[in-house]
Amino acid sequence: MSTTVPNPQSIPGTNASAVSRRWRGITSTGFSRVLGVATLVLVVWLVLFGLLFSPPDQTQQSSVRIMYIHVPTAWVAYLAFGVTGLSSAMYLFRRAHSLAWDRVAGASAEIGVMFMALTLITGSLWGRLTWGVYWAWDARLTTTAFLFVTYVGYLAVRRLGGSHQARAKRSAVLGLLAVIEIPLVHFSVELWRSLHQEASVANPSGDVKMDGLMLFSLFVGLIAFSLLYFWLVLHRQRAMYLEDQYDDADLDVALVERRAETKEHSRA
Amino acid sequence: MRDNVFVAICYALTLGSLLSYATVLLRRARRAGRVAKSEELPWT
Repeated sequence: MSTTVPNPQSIPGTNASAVSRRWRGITSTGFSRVLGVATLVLVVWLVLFGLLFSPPDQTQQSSVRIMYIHVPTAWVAYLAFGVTGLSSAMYLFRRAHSLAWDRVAGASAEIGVMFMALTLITGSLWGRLTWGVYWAWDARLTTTAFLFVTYVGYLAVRRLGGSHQARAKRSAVLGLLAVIEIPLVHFSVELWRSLHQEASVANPSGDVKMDGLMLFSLFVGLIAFSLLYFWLVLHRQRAMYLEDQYDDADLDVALVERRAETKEHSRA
Repeated sequence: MRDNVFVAICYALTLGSLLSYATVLLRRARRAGRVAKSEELPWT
């Protein structure tokens, strides 16, 4: 939300002590701090294993090191969009229609879009080294780009305005529809002839042809980025809760001002 | 040589973007938290 923050004292229900209490780590808890530290340690591990300890590939040489971030970012994007779909279903089909599910869906989609963008960029650079081109209208690349654009659209729909419940309802419907694209992207390399290689680890035959240290580096990347995703979602959905509260408070102030204006007019 | 440059760009871009996003996120949360209405936050 790119709005100017007014004086906290002007918002009903706020006071100086509450403000100063909240100033530090407003969205943090003990658990989120532990998760943050664990994520940081694993990211350092990823850099060390990805850049230094893992061996270069026989054919791809050093460029294989891109795999340790390209594959995890793609995995996290799938995970994030899956969580958006699940949270959308929870919002729509549970009686309470809790906005908490909507916030998790929105937070997860936003983070997923960022990871998907990183997947496309790192994949494009890797493609330049291995295929000789930054982009090809290949089945996997095209469906991935389509998935990215769909979720950018989802984020745009969330910002259309209206009440929180209206936002939640329309975005939940879209979130449920968009999640259907994920299997299409994943199986695109099997459905169509593709430049992109098939799954190296999660393949149907279960035959993993990869050096042990390479595989370990890849798993470090997967775990590091998954933890980072959970940490980001935790903070983002809490920030969304605060932003919703801010919107409500802003509306309350506007209503009070409007009522005061109406009284002035009726007196005159 | 070119491989190493591309690898370095990929790592710097990915980690830099994620770090920037996390920083902006925490700043936004603090800004919103300054004017939030409720005294007790659900996660505390």
